[in-house]
Amino acid sequence: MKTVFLENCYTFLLIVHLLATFVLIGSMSHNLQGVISYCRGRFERQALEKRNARIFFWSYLVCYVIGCIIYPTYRVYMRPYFDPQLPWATGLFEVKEHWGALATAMLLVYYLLRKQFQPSEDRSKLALYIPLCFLLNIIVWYKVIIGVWLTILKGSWS
Amino acid sequence: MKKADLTYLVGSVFIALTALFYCSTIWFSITVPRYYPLEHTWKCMKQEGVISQGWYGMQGFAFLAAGVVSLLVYFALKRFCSLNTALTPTVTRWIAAATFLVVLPCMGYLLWYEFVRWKIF
Repeated sequence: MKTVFLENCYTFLLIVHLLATFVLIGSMSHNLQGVISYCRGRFERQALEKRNARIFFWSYLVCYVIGCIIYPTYRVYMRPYFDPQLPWATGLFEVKEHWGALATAMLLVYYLLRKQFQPSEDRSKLALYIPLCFLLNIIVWYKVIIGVWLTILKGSWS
Repeated sequence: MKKADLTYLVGSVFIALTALFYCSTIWFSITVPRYYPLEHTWKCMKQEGVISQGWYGMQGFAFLAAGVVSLLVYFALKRFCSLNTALTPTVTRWIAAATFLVVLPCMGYLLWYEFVRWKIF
């Protein structure tokens, strides 16, 4: 019987993936709160917003790496179930993966940019920073909802 | 050029190019390395009837190609722009607009591509 890379750890890694997602959603939402205050012209909580952006980046990276590790097991054991019976689910999953790849690049720039500018002093850079924050929120929420939905449909092969 | 301006400009280029190069793998059917999870190997071709994954290769190609071009832009800016050069607010806004003008259609295309492919539409 052929085995897939880290197949035996799939459930454990999936749970760690979920736990990291909790941190991701928390930091991302708090970061969004800070960014919304910039839209209103309020800059009192910049340090907190910056810290949340950092946690947002690192928790996304953890989710992304674990996702990459468990993807082969998903591909071998779950996809043969989804493809013929629920092709729309595979379609939604594929979009999740494509957008996730683009979000990785966006979040890297988002994080690096935030490290180097002070929103209160250099407001013109918010032209990229604010829409990027909203777009990342949309992508991550899409990924979370679809990920949870598919896990409800078929979370294990045993 | 200030470090923050440099990051802003090069970062925008990197985001837009990652989206373009990523979609290019679909538009131009670019051959990327595929992972064969049951064989634990990588091959630069798609074997019919064998489970394989092209997503890693698509990302790798997009990040690498966008990274190389962004680095060239970075070195060009370092070489040709003086330390006093700064992005004006108007230019800054235009760069952001151009970035999203590339990224959003690419995201829309990926959505449309998969929805048609898996007959969701």
